[in-house]
Amino acid sequence: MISIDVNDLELNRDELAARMMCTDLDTLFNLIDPAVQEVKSNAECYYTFEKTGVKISGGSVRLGFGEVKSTALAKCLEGCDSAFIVAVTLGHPVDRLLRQKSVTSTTEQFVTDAVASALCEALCDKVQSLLPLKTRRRFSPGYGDLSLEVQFPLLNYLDNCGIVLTETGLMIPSKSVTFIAGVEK
Amino acid sequence: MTVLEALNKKRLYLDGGTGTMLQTKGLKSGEGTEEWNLTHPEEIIRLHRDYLTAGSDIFCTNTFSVNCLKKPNYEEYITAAVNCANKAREGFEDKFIAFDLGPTGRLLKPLGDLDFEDAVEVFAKNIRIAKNLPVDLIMIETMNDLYETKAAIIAAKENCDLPIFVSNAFGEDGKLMTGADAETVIETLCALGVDAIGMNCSFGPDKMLPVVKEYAKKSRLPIIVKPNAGLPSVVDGKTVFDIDPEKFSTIMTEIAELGGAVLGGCCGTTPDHIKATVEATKNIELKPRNVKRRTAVTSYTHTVEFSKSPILIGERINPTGKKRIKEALREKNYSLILNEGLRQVEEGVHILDVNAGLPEINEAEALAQIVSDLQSVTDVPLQIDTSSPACLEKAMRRYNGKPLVNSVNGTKDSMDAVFRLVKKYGGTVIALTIGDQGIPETAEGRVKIAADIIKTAQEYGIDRSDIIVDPLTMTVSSDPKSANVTLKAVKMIKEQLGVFTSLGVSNVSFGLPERDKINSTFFTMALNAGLDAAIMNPFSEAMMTVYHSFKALTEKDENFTDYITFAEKNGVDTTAKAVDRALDLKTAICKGLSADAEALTKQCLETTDPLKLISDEIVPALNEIGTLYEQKKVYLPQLLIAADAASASFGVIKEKLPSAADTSKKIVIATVKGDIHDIGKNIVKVLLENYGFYIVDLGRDVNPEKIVEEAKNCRLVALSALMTTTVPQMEETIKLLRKSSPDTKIMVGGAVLNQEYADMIGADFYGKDAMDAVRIAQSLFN
Repeated sequence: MISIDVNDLELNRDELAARMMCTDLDTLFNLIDPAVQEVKSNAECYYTFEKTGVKISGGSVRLGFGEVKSTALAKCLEGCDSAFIVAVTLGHPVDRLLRQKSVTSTTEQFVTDAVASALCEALCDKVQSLLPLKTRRRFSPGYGDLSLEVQFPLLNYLDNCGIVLTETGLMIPSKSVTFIAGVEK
Repeated sequence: MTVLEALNKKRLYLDGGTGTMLQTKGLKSGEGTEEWNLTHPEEIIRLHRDYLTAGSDIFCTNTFSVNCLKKPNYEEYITAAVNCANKAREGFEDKFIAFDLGPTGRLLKPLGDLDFEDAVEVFAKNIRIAKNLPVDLIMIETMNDLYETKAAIIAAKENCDLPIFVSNAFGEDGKLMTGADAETVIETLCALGVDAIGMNCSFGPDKMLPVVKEYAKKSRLPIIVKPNAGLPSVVDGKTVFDIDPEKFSTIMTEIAELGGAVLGGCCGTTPDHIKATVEATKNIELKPRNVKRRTAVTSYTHTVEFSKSPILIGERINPTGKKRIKEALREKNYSLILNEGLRQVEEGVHILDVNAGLPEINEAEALAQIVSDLQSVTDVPLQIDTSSPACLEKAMRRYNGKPLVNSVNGTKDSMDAVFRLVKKYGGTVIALTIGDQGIPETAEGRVKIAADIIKTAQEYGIDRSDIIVDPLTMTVSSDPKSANVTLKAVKMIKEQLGVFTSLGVSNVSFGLPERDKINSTFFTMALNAGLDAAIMNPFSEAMMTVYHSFKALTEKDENFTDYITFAEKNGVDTTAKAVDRALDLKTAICKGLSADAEALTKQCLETTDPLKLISDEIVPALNEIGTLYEQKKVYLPQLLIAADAASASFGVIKEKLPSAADTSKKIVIATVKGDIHDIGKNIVKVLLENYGFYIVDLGRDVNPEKIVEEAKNCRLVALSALMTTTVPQMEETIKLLRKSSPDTKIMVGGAVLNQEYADMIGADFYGKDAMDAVRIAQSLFN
């Protein structure tokens, strides 16, 4: 696991607006600003990655952790010989913060959750920019026809990455993302 | 000779890496090492013997990843692994076989989804097999979560008499993955009564040094150190590590000098690493551990030590004299209780007292649940407060860390029940100076009982450092001498017995007006007498003023930092701000101005009937904002802040009404099993409550059986799910509900659902958003 300073992340306002289901964030600064501050002070940002070969045959893709069926992923990795398998997380304290908010205020829970999700996307952007090779757009389990079940072998492959799955395949800490990014030739 | 006898005499050596060694012998990537117990036993035996030849005294069975969650035939793997170890021991009969227990691979509730008792059972199943095989100790290792470590230790203590060694995996920040720092791990594990503790994996011995130093300073138990051979990298398709045997053994020398008593290696280490370590450290003297005992309790992240600065214990989670807490306990509305806890933490308490003693409820269930729920939202340690040993046991078992236990007294029955539990689960105990004849009237009498309790605790193997004496605050209005007796007892206990003291300060003023004045003065006197901890009300400005001023005046607040922060916070006028005269309640709610809505509600109630205020101001406001939301003229955040403002207004009104809850409009709401997302459910709940519905919120990841139980005689159940993977659970829940409560209607909602999906799984209604859910509920109930 490699750590990243949360202050190096740039929160994307459009991403946040989408998460808050709201196009006009200006009137909500008194809710958003403290939430950003709280999430940032609780975040413990980490990532890990492995480089793997890519073999595509029809709608199946063979990656380091096994073969997965997904035409969408196959299309995304078309022409790539290799890809990075990446996991990022904002860490457990952010989950605790969200649990606190669920008790104290639903509004704050909603806003804090949206901010944390947007920050997690910012972490993905940052991590992708730090990968040793230039990559294409990222693709995560649950997108298109790539099953969430893939999380199990994928996280097993990224040994000791600090993210644990529930029986139903949800990631803990909850503000975590796994993705596959094809290496540009 | 047993392993503990051997450890008393000299430093012992463990083995090194297994997976990385087997990879050099052909173990494929992704293939579990445990498979080789069955397929390549000769290689496992050879590896064990290589380590024994290199000088290992203790070697671990190849069972790290074996458990019933991963392997249905775990028994076969365990038996084969111990057979391999036992064969390897031929010719090395003085060596010890450690039965190896690794993490389950799942995270325990409340962070994850594995129940604590299920985790205990997973470990227990392994131990019940191992204890009948030739193993000498249990080695719990590579644990990166304190709670799971506790589950494994409890399983070991309950199922065998073997020595227990525990080794945790720390990150570079010096903490476990779930947040416990080294000090907290040490305190908790020492309290649980294991035989050796330490660390393994994660990184090489160089980076382990800071954590080793912390253990050397604070651990009363022998220290285990089992580092990796540095950091891994892939060279020509093979994983290699960057610390060779020579460098490894050089750093291990430093670790041995610091007090490392059980040394070995983890990932990437080889028999050569062990051999070099044995050679380099065998002549370094192993000094007996001579660490001063401290009085401390822990949460699952940090430790609170009783020392020079007084400790505040928040008293508010207690139904005695508190109508709202009583109601919350009866209705299992634990959110309110958690909120009360968080508010006290905000005020600066170090520990939260938790009391759920209400005769008409199942106290054991409630107390354990509240302890567990509180630990999901706050990381301050808890004081478990109950007079029932059965309730205490359930809560102590569930507690993640080393709790403060409130309380034991000087009667034989109390000491026997409580000390047995403290010995098993670990804890520091508040000892009340009550004997067989009741509470002595004199300070001397109370000191004698305290001395007896300390002596008896030692007979149970509990050190005096884990006893905090409470010489009891009596009601001064019933006995004017009583306050002085208590203060004298505090002084005498500290001088004569050398233990820490605590008092429930607020008791002193029962029956008197302006209780805060008496309480805060008594608190000042008690602190001056040497009181170390107070169970008190942190919302009392007078009490907090005493606390911060006392610290500032007695050199317990460096640079006056705490006092200045407190003074700045409390110097600001926090009374409700002047309400804009032009603002009416309806507008305040629509604009989401909670503080204004609260103040205006108070004003309005002086002249207006509460029910009229609801019908004329609050409901129209909610309707207006709800309609604007449905017309997409405002967004969800605006709808939510308006709902919050309405809730603030209702909060004021509820104080005026005998009971605002109309149970005829009961709706049970839950996020289904397997799903931990609860924002959508919480939004629906807030809005439904504002529209006068009585909501029973079962939380998230809720078993279908629990929903079925609560849904009896209820007209509407609302179920939420966010993930596709959890919708089958929703369908299952609906099927069960149909059988048990055919007249109950079911509404579903959540990101993955739509009308078609809702129809498919047999729901009556699909709520596309929170306002839609309100409309559905209104049409059903009206």
